[in-house]
Amino acid sequence: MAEWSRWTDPSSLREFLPWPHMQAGHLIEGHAAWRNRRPLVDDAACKACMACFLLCPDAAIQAQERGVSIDYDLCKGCGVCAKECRHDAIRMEREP
Amino acid sequence: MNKILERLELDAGEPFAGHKGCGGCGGTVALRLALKALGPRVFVGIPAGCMSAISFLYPQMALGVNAMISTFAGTASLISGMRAAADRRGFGDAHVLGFAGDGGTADIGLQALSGAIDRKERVIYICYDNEAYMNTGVQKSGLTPFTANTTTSPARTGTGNAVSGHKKDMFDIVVAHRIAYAATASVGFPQDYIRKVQKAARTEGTSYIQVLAPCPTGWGCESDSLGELARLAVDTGIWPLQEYDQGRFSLQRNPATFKPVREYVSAQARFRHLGEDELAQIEAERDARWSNLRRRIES
Amino acid sequence: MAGNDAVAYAVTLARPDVIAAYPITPQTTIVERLAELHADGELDAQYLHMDSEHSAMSAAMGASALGVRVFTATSSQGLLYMAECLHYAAGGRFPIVMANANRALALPWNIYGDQRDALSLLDCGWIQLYAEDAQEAFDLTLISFRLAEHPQVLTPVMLNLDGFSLTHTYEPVDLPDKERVDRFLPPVEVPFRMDLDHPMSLGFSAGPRHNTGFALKRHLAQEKAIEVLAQIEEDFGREFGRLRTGALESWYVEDAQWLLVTLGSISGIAREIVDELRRAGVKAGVVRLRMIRPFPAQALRQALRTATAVGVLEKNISVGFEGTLCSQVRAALQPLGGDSPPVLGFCAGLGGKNISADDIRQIFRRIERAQDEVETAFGVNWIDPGVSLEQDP
Repeated sequence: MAEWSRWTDPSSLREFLPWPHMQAGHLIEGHAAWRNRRPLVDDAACKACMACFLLCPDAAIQAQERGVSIDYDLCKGCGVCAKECRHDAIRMEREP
Repeated sequence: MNKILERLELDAGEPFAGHKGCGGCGGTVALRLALKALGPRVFVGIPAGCMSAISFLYPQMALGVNAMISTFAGTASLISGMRAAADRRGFGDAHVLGFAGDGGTADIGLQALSGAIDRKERVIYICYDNEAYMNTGVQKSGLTPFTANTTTSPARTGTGNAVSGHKKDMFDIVVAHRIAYAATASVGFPQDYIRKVQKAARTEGTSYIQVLAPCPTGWGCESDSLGELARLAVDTGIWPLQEYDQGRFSLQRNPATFKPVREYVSAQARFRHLGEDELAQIEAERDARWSNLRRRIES
Repeated sequence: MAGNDAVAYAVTLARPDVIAAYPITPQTTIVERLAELHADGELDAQYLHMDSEHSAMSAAMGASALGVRVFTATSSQGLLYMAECLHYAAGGRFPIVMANANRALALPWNIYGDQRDALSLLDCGWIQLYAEDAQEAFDLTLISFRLAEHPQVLTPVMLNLDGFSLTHTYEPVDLPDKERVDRFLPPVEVPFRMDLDHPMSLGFSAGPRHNTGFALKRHLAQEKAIEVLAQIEEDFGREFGRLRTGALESWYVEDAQWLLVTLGSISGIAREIVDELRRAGVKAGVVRLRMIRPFPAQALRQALRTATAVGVLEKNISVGFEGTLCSQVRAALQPLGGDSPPVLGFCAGLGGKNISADDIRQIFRRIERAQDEVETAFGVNWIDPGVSLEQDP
């Protein structure tokens, strides 16, 4: 769901921003490299209660109609989702 | 669209993603849920502190709605200006939100907040309370709880060595201004928090919400425990969930018995030094406070 | 009307959207007059009773972020209280206009006029203009909005009025009608404003790699303001029939040997003394600086090109060195190399002490002796300090 922009540093003043303001929601890099563990969802066990979705600090959990999916570009591997799940539907595994 | 999210009336968008916050940050949960509750028609002011430091690092802008970093002391003033300008431009229906930490609210930001409430500015002010100046490396703030270890109030093992004072009662301070709406919340109870943000959005006048937001880095706990600790703070009675709405007080949770405070503090390195005497003192103060809170909702 | 009233009426005609008000002597009558005009329905704006000057400038930035026209006023302690916000607003390129009543800075406490407040903040990034009389205070208020909002400038403007001697002195002021002002000053258009269709992230962080680029951009933009001011004042002259002279105003400089650089309302007396000296055959002249940030170095070198010696009169001292304005003038003349005349700094009028015609005569005599008394020509020349300079060894 996150939208990523390509970015090259401005090399001349002509291209440089005249002020410290720019468009909102401009993302150039994700945080997959921050992880040493990653969450894995067991779709069969998931009851779509949304507890994990509500508490994900990084908006890495996407709500589907009957469950959730994980955006591994945004996920930092904090483990909150696995901890919050009351249905044993998420477990943390070592990042490959 | 998921039925639970429909019932909660949360916006489907994710206007807060790609930030550089620590894994497991309670503050980011509080900001994300507030923005989903308010929707895209919003103007936001965030002071120097964690939430701004992680969201506006050129060229990565993690906020997808109109937002500006304010001076540390000036959040409530910045948003007062935004509200005036928004009304002039015909955006009367848009929300204006200030989202500041405990230091930026109870210490350096208190004057501006008091002024904004006094002027009855039609703004929402949310204090995400992680109980210290976290962005600068865990220094004591006016909302650091009694006995918590910080770098400027380092605690030593045993009774009497912790120097940190008690939390300023910001809820009571804003209530004394006869604010239109005030509430305390916790990221451990996200649905209660979301409901309170939505109530603030409907309030004609100033709203203040103080949401407890655990910080794994500063509290010294695992990165997965924000929900657990934010619930324990409430279940031990340390952090009451309350509202002040058009002059009436209410408690969202009023349990007959509390979980022992030891359960809450044992998972946090910032309380590692606490002795039995200090735990007993904390529980005695909690009990005294709760008898006042209960008396207040009855009258 | 008084200088402060002139500012208030000009602000009203400028159609501001938001006034961030907080009182401090001797600017208070500006925000009071604006409150009256607002209550009487003549000023159509949001009037915010802010809780401090820091809050007033923070509110001004919040409003400016949504691209509306904003005004505030302050003085001395208040100006310094909002000092962090001044740098902030300038770096953020918010086109805010602020009137500053020049007043002494504590300690010791003093509410009277001198120029230490604004001169201690030359580096904050704001354009600084100085008015001499009430009509100019009115005119420069309108000009300030156009200058601040000019797309090549987009920099906040501080308009300075001498505390009490200009803010509270009554003079005739011509007030033009609304149509003229609307023609001269169109509605504001801020290019980076927050919009619901195009949301913005404002006031972001820029680390070591990018930070200098932002500093460069605004430095160059501010330098442009000298040229832009001249263009705007040409327009002003055409619309209102009063010619203004850009960054500086010269009096008898074409062949002057002894020149005094002045700032603000004292310039009137300085010109009278120059007239007196000229009648006596002395080639004296005055250069009045109207803009000191950006500093009009080239124009100043041109104006002082015939000088044998130059004096700089300011109601200020940069403690531990010399007058701030004196240092600026000497630095501006440095490119002349060996042809650069000696520059003498004169400190007078601190804490509201009156500067008299005799003081100005004394200053010119001192300038004339500069070549003969080279070893005492530098350092601070204290004019009428109120005590003799004898001390224990």
